[in-house]
Amino acid sequence: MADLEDLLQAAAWVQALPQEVASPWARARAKAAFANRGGFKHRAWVDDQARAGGSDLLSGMAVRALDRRLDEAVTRLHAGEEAEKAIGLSWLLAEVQDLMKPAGLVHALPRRGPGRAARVASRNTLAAQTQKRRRGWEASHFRPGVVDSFYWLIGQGVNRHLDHAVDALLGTPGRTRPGRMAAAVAVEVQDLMLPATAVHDLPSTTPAPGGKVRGRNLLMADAAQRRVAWVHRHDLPLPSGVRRRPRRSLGIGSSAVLALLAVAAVLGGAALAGLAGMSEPDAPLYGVKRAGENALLTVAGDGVSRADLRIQLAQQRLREAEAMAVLDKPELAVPALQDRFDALRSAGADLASETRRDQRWTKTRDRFLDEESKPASAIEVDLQRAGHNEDADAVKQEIQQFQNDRKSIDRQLGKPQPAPSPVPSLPAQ
Amino acid sequence: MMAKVNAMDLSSTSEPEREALAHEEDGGSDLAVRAQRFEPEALAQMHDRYFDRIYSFVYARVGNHVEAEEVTGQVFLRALDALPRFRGGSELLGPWLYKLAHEVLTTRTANAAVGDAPEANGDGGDARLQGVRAAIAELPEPQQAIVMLRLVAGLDAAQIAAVTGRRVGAVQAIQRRALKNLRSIMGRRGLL
Repeated sequence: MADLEDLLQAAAWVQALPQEVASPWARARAKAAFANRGGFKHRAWVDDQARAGGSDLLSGMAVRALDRRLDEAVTRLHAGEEAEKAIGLSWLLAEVQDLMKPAGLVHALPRRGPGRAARVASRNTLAAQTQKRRRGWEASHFRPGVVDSFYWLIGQGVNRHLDHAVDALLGTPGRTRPGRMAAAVAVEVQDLMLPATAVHDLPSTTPAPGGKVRGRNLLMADAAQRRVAWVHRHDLPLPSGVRRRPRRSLGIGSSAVLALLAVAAVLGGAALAGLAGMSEPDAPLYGVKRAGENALLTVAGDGVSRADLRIQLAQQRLREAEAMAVLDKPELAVPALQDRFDALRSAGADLASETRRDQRWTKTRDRFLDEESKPASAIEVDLQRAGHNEDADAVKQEIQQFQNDRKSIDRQLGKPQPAPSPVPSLPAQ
Repeated sequence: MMAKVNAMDLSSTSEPEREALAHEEDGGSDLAVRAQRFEPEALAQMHDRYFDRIYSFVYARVGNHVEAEEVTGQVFLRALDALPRFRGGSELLGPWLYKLAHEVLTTRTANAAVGDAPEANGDGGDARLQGVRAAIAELPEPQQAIVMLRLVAGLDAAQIAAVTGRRVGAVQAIQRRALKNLRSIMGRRGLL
């Protein structure tokens, strides 16, 4: 029995200390070392026994009793008794066997049949009997939660050392370095590192060529739908660069009129902004919202400002159309998309009719080109998926119609062509 | 600094260090937040950064290229479902994906028919490796997760605690119990 040999070795080591000259501090150290070497082995052994009996409920109490006995054994060793006698191993085994009896009883408690009340009564009886037999034991020790916590406290040191050893295996220095490791802990940690190494040595490899691309395509296809849904649930801020320019000052009379109009526009805009969040095409206030939009278009200054507003409205229509398609309301989705394309056509016409093509015009034109190139095919897909094939076809036709229209609009706006890729020059001879 | 980071061989660094370096590469922006908004660039960045690592993790468990690729794809799709519920910064994105990968593997193992023959497209023919994998599969679920995340993914106890919602001490205790059980199972199978 390896435990016995270890214990005897430890005992011999303690006995070999020069007792006459040993200071109390040296004796205390020797005692602690003995408890570590011998005591831990026995704790583990008692744990295993208790677990073999089906329960570790009593391991904490067994360890306490053993600690006490080990303490006494060390005192006897110092008094000059023979090692085996001093340890009282036969007594120790008897103690453990004795402790296993209530462990077995606890384990054998009926779990389902008699119901909870019967189990509790049985457990209390057992607790009372055990308490009578072993002074110092309390009924609360039988509560699994309490005992588990106690068990966890006992194993904490080993856990930390083991974690540190795993860190070393992985080549990652731990954040905290545990203290000195007792011999018994080292033995256990070394033992547990065998399966850890086997798991760590499982081969890992890189993906085959093309696998990553396939995975990426799959992910991005699914993500596109989710992005649309996310955008509909959250109000996004205006893209950067779409900041309104301050108007140039005009004459006093027209300024007053414009100021009034501006106030009206601001108030209307504020009201519109308030309603925009809740008014979708299926909302009762949607008509008010659209009327507000028309009012804003009426008071918009020049063609560029009007085009700018129409682009924003086209964005809004696209979101509404997508939302209606997702909500399975094709009768509202298709008109919203038609309105979007109408708004874009009007914006293109406004820009094309503008004679003064300055930097502001160019910026608005670029925004228009960005907006018109946004795909609307997700709406068609959603409608098809919901079984609205006719509406999906209508959407498809609208998209195709607009694609044809935008060619002439782009031509009028002077859409910049992509720069040709540079021809690689031949190396100098 | 960036040049230094890019020049470093990430494969020779540990998982926590890799996370820290990746965070620096972000330039301070929060990849997790952008991914939660399903921004295509952020999702592509997340995929490209973690695909190889998750693949490697999955391969260690299944030992088969075809299955590893399929499972890795599923992990990222599941991540799309779970992203709105993700709580944590970019530094926890990697550990969180490993946890998802383990969950996908567990579900798959539970659904798989018992006695499926290992395919030749990998190391499925190695009896010892299969034995180690089977021994891991015999562990109770929380122990299995912690063994995989700790020893195969290379996460530290604090990262595992963060993504599993446990305390560090509890993770260490489960790790010890798992290794004790694993030693016992592997001993019984003649693998030690």
